[in-house]
Parts: sequence; C-alpha cells; structure tokens
Amino acid sequence: MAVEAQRRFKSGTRFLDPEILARIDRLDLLARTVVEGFINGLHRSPYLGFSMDFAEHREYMPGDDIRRIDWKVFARSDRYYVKEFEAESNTNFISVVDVSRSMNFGSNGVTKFDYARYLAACLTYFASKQRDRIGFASFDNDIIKYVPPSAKHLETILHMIDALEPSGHSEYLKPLLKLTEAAKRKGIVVLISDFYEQPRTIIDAANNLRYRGHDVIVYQVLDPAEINFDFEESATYEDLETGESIPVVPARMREQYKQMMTEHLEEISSLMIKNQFDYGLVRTDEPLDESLFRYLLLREKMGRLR
Amino acid sequence: MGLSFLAPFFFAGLAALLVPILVHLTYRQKATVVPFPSLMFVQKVPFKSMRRQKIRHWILFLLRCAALTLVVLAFSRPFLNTVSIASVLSPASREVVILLDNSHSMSYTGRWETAQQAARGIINDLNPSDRVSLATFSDAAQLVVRSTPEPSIIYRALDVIGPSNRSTRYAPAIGIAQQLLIESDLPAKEIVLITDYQRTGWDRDQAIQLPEGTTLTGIDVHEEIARNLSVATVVLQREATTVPEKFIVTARIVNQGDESTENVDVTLSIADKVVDERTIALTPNSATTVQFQPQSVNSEALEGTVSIKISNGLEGSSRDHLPGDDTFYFIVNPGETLKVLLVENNNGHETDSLFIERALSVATRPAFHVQRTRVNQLQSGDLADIDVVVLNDTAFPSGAAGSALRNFVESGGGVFIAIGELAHPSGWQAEDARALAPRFGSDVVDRNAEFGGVLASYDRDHPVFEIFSTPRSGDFTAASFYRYWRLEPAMGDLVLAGFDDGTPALVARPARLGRVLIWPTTLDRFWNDLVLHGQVFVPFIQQATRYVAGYEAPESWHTVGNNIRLVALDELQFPEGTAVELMTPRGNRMDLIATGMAPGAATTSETSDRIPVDDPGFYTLKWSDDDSEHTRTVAANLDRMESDLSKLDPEELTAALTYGAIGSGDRSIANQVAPESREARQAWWWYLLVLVFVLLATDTALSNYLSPRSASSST
Repeated sequence: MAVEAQRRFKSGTRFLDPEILARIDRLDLLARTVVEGFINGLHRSPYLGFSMDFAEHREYMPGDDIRRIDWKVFARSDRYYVKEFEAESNTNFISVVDVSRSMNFGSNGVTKFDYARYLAACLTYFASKQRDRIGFASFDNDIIKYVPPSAKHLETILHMIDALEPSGHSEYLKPLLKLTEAAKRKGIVVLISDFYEQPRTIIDAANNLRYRGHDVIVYQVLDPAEINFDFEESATYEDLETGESIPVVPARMREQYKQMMTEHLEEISSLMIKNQFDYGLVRTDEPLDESLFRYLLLREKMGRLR
Repeated sequence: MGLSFLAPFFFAGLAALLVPILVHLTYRQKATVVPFPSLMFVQKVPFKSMRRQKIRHWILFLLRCAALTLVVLAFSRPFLNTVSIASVLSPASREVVILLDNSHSMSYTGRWETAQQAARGIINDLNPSDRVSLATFSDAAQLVVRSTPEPSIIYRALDVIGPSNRSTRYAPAIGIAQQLLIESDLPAKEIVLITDYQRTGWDRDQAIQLPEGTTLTGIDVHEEIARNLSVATVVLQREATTVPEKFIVTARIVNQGDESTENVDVTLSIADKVVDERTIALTPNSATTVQFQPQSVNSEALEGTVSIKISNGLEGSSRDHLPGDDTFYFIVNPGETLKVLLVENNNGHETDSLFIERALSVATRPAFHVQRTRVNQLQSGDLADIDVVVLNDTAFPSGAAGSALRNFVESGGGVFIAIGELAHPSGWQAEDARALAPRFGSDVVDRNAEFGGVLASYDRDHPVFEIFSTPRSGDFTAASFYRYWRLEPAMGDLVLAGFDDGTPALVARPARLGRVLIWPTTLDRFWNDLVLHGQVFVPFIQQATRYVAGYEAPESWHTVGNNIRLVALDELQFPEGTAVELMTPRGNRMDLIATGMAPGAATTSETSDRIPVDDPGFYTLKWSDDDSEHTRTVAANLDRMESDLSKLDPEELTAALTYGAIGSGDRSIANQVAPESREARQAWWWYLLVLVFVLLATDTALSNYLSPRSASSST
C-alpha cells in the first residue's frame, strides 16, 4: 500500500487516493482538489452550453447583443437593460447516493459511505464546472434529502453531502420512483450504491429513471473485503442493516461466498449493460479518477450522440 | 489409603468442562463481533458447511479442560491418606513422640488393640530420617523407648506393654514429650497422642504448652460406651453403740452406659464369704445405693469386697466392657474405740465432767470409752490400756501416779489438761507436772468486769482446730471466758489458741512420743460458757482428745497409684529397720524395709519402704518383732475417676496444648487421620492452582499464536 501511494504521489494523483482524501475535512475543498487536479491533465472542455437561469439585469453597454435587451424593463423604465444569466448549462445532473447502513463499512480506512460521498461531491463539482445544473438525492428505503437541479446549488449540495449520516436499510424501487417523479426534466442521474439487492429489482427501479429519459450512470461501490471475503478469524458477523448476527468461519465459506458475490456482480453488470445503464464497479481502494473518467467518457458519448 | 478429598462435592464442578467444549464447538465465534454490510450471501452458505462442531485446536482445548479439571481438583482439597507418601512431599526429618495412653480406661473392650494398631500405623508411616520415641502414660508418664530411628524397637515395646490399672492424667505425658522435643535437634517436631480422651484426665488449670513449632496429632480411640457398671464407692458406717460393734456397708452403683441393665447382682463379701446379696436394675446413666445388712466387727481386720455382676449371663456386647471397676475392696478395721480416763478433783462435783463426758460419748469414729476416777485414787495400773487421760480441773497426781502418768505420756500416751478453779498452781509444782504442763501464774485472769473475754485466735492449720477452718464450721468468739489461768509456755510449747488479751488459751506440749494439751480454764459453765456452744465445744473436745491420743483413722482402702510408705501406714507398727514381707494382689512377693519418719529416706535399689499400689485388691504385709508375727492387710481400689469414661473434646485439649504451636490435628480411628489436618499439612490445592495459572498463561500465549487477529474491524 505504501509503495502504491508513493507511486500515486509521484504521478500527481495523490489527492485522488481515497485514503488521503479522507484526511480532508471540508468536502468542497476535497471536490475542488480532486476535480481540478483531474482537469489539469485534460484538454479544455470542448462543450459549450447556455443557461436559462436568470441572474440579474445590468445596463446596456455598447457591444452587447441587442437581442438580450429586456424590452419589458425598457417599457417600464425607459432605460436599456440586458438580462444576465447565471451560467450557461447543458443538462441536469443529479447524484443519488445510497446512505443505508450497509454503506458504513470499510476495511481499509475508507468506508463505502465516505467513498460514495467523495464520488458524489467530485462529480457534482465536476458537473458544476461543466455548467450543468446540479441536483442531489440521498436515500435508504426512501428519499431522505433531495435538492432539485440548479446551477446555483453547489454549495448547498456539498453542505448536504457533508452532513449525511448512514441510516436505515436500502430499497430501490420506492425512492427511485419518487426521484423519477421529482426530476421530470431529462438529465444525467448518477446512482451510487452497494446494491445489496436482487439484480432484477435494482434494474426495475433504475429503469424508472431511464424510461423518463435520464441517462443513468450506476456506480456500485464495494469494499475489497466484501469482494474477497479475506477474513481470517472466526467470529460473529453482524448485518449492518438488519442487526442480525451469524457465527461465521470465513475460511470454510470464503470460496462459496466469493462465488456467489461474483455471480451477483456479473448478473448486475450484464443486466445493466443489457438495459443500457452505464455501470461501473468501484472498489474503495481505487482512486477516484477512474470514476471521474467513467463520467467523462459518458459525457463524451452523450456529446457525440447529440 | 490413597488419594482422598476434603470437599468431594466440588467434583460437580467438572460439569464446567462443558464450557470449553461449548466454547470450542458452538460459541467460539461469539468471541468477537464483526460488522458486515450484508449477510445476504453469508446466509446462503449452508450452515453445516462451516463445520463449527469441529474442534480446530486440540491443544488449546486440552489445555483448557486440564485447567478446569485442576481447578475443580484444587477446590475439592485433595490429600494423600498415607503419611508415608505425604511425608515424601514434606521430607523434613521429624522427631515424633508417641504418647500411648495405658490408663485403666484403655482396658475397655477393643480400645487397647486399636491404640496399638494406631501406634504401629504411625511407625509404618515414618520416613527413614525420622526419629520416634514411645512413652506410655496414665497418672504418670513412662518413657518406654527414647528417640530412635529403628521402628523394630518400638514394635517390640508395643508387644510388651499393656493397659495399667491407673488413672488418666495428660499433663505428665505432655511434659515428657515436651522434654523430648526440646532435646531434639530435628527440624520438625510432632506429638502423636493416642488416647481415649477421658475427660477426667485433663485439668483445665494445667498450664502446659507445647514447644513452639510442635504439631500435635491426636488419635481418638474412644468408642461409644455401650455398658459400664461400676461400684463407685463404699461407705462403712460403724455402730459403736451396739455390742458387738457392727458396721453397715453401703455401696453406690453407677451405670455409665447408654443401656439400661436389669438383674445386677451386688454382692458383699467379708473374709471371702458372701454375707449379703442384692439384685438391682439400673437405667442408663444413673446411680443407686445399696445398703447391706449390718455386720459384726471382728477383733481383727476384715477383708471385704462389694462386687457387681450382671446375672443374666450376658456376653459379648451386652456385658460390662470395663470390668476392672466392678469390685470394690475395703478393710474393716477392728473396733476403733479410744479409752479415756477422766481424772477429777477429789473435791469436785459429779457434774464437773458432765459436759466433757457427754461430748466424748457421742463420738463414733473413733468411739470414746470414758472411765472416771479421782486424782487421789489414780493408780499406775489404771493407765494400762488407756489411750488418753483427761485431767479435769485437778492437781497433778502425786507420787507414783504422777510418775506413771509422765511415763504414760512419754511412751506415746496423751493427756488433756483442763485447769480451773480447783487446780491451784501449787498442785502443779512437782517435776512430773512441770514436765507435762507449763507453769501458770498464781493469779487468775478475771474478765467478769468485761462480761468475759473472747477466744480471739486459734491456729486453723493445727489438727485440733482444722475442722473449724472452713466457713460456718464453728465460731469460738461467741463464747465468753470469764476467768482463766495465765499460762507461761516454755520453749518448745506450741500456743494453739489465745484470748483477746493475748493470754494463751490452748498450749500443746510434745512429750517425747506423747502429746499434751493444756486448757487454762474449766470444761464446764463455771469459768466460761463454751459448753453452751455445742457446735464448737463438742467437736473441739473430740478433736482435742483424738489429737492427744495420736489417733489416725486407718484407711479402709487406698487408691491405685498412690504408693504408700510403711511409716505413713503406721509409724508405730513400722519403726525404722522393720523388715516387711509384702504379698501383692497378683501374688508377687516383695521385701520392704521401713525407713522411719524422715521424708524420702534413702532406700537401696533392692529394697523399698513403699508399697507399690499398682493393682486393685489386697496387699498383705507380714513382719515380726520380738514378741510375735504380725499381719496387716491394705486394700487398694482403682481410681474411680477412671470409671467416668466421658470424653473430652479433642479440640479443647488440642487448643489448650497447642497455643503457640504450629498446628494440630485429630484423628479418629475410623479415618486414622483427620482429613482437615492432613490436607492442611499437604496443601496440594496451592500447587494445583499454581499449575492452573501456568496452564492458563500457556493457553493465552498459544491461542494468541494460533489465532491471529481478525482481518478487520469496522471503522
């Protein structure tokens, strides 16, 4: 681990290491650090858009597009004012984070919950930089927090992500259906969860978003220990969501567990692809940049499609 | 023999062995709780496939089982039931003193054999480096074998010795053991007391302590008393008034057993003839008295016995288990009458001697046979066969009678002189009179003006006044003395009493072998009113007469263990140098030489002046003087305290003796060794617990080595 961290430091991506990020208290700083560090290595964004979000009026200055003169104001005040808009936006971006208690697990210093928060924060920041309208939702078995997409909600969303606490057990159908109802305008929905649910149920829930016209990016965040089940000592294992306990001898069931987990992940992956979700399995010991790249690739794809 | 346990019920704790088994098989996984996101897949793994029932670390499992077993073993307080094995564990050389009770109570059925067996057991358990001494004890302790490492010597000694007829006393035994242990230089000191713990043998006031560091181990051979009848005592009541003199034997029969006994024949034998017999029944722990028909006193001493026998012929467990106290031996001495010659003044009234005569006539032991005469009628021959002469308010006999009286006294006779109104000093000027009586002045002390003087002091330790030494035994100060002569005691005279003005009231003068008492006032109501205080006058007169007569009631019996000097038996019959042949009840013949009055007079190793009273029965003494052969019989009985078989609490004795000593213990014959003491001495539990701690420490280290830390824990 130390050698790998050193390698990342040298390559300039040390801030993308989740373990190092975990030391940064402020989430906005973290997101900016990650994203700007990430962008520094990229070419300038080719995507231009416009925003319809009104910001303010200002007096007409010579050279301004006369099409932007607000004639209604001129009629009232006999002065020329032009409309200023907040930013130019391309699309709606909503990050949806699973905050169920199962996310509060980590074997390498970073929990899935923290990782999901970093990821959501970074993507939101990144999207904000791209002039997208950013929104946010957290859920367990229901929608807990929801911020509708807006170009001005970055601080709100980062603050909200910062204040998240794990709670409840996860369900997908109900909260995602609600989200579908709330976010009527088409956009990009990033769904971040560990997906301890039957793959078919997850797909059914996510399909609601897709049917609404959203582009859905699915990040499945898992801890390496969940995948490899490399526990040694026999112990009582307690389900973080249900509280149920089972005595477990890991060595005796590791292979079966790994096999079932692999089958589960493969099934999710195949169903996601089949249903045109952009799916990615993220391990909490992986740098955030891979996740950001996945998002970037999607935007690129979307750009080409449009 | 072998391993025993003080608290075997702790073995129920072995059920705790299930704990490590359960821990290993079922609940071992509960040791730590690992939070996990979802058990969705874990639950799908078949339960049995985890194979939880399999014990993974057999070494850990066995270590834990062993630790628990050792804990249970420690709490059950194990100890070895054999001294020999135990002593290997504590191999310090010991100085062991075996005190073997051989008092008469050990004759109780089975006790002696048990005691011998216990003693042999102790010797068997000795280490080669130990030394052992053997001492028997009853009322005295006897060292049989002094500290020896050779057990065979003790074995041979045990075969020879047996129970004696003596009573139990613990103090001499502890004393001899104390001495042996003090002399020993071995590090460990132990006393083994093999006894029946007879209560009568222990005097609480005995200040005996064992040396510091001594271990006292008691072996109790006492068994429940099934049946023990005994003739506790015999009272010989003499009827001196009858002719011939008779005596009545009254025996007290005691049943100290827990069983009632019917048909007990109580037999009185005189001179080997059964003269009377009664049949009685006794309830448990009760006593009854049996009075026999009066028997005539012979001119010679009679040997008598009172014996009991259970007449229904019970044998085995129903018979008397301590037969030694079933017979009581006694001697009925020939008529004990002292002849008193009462010499009165020529001019005296007949009633002058009324009070003294009446006082003497009511005495029974001995009876007084009083003859009266006038002083001028006294003849030398009158003194023959007379034991005491009372000169009652008269002048000293003149002439040959006076000389005869002096000779009479000096050859062992006794004179009681009362001088009053009629005894003028002029009548006491003769040489013989001066030899027997002190001078007294010509003036009478007249206390009439003071309503009489008082007899203010008297020597309570003197035989004459000894009977008044106890409270409420008589008050001389109540009597008033109106007139008395002022006696002038000479050198050698003993003033036994004095009036409140310091004038002597009673003077004793030894006259070679005889005794003289001088009373300077009258023995009637004329000069004092002492005669009106009968509770002091009558015993005073009787005792004074006995004293001057030199009378000592012959003992009807003696107690076994009290060796009797011949001179103490009768100093007149056994003057120094008298050769006496003694026949003991066992039929052994011994030669004794009387050594005179000197206490502890030297005797040679071959001869002794002491009758060794070791057995109950009759001891016959034969000797001869110039005139003829003489025979005298002495009866001896067991100390009846020995018949009381009630048991002393061994703890009490042990506690009294071991104050400051290391430890103590008691053994009952049933278990040979008191488990508590043996266990305490061996203290295995301590070693076992140390072993448990070692095992648990090993277990901890091993389990840490075998079970690495769990792969992770939640944040």
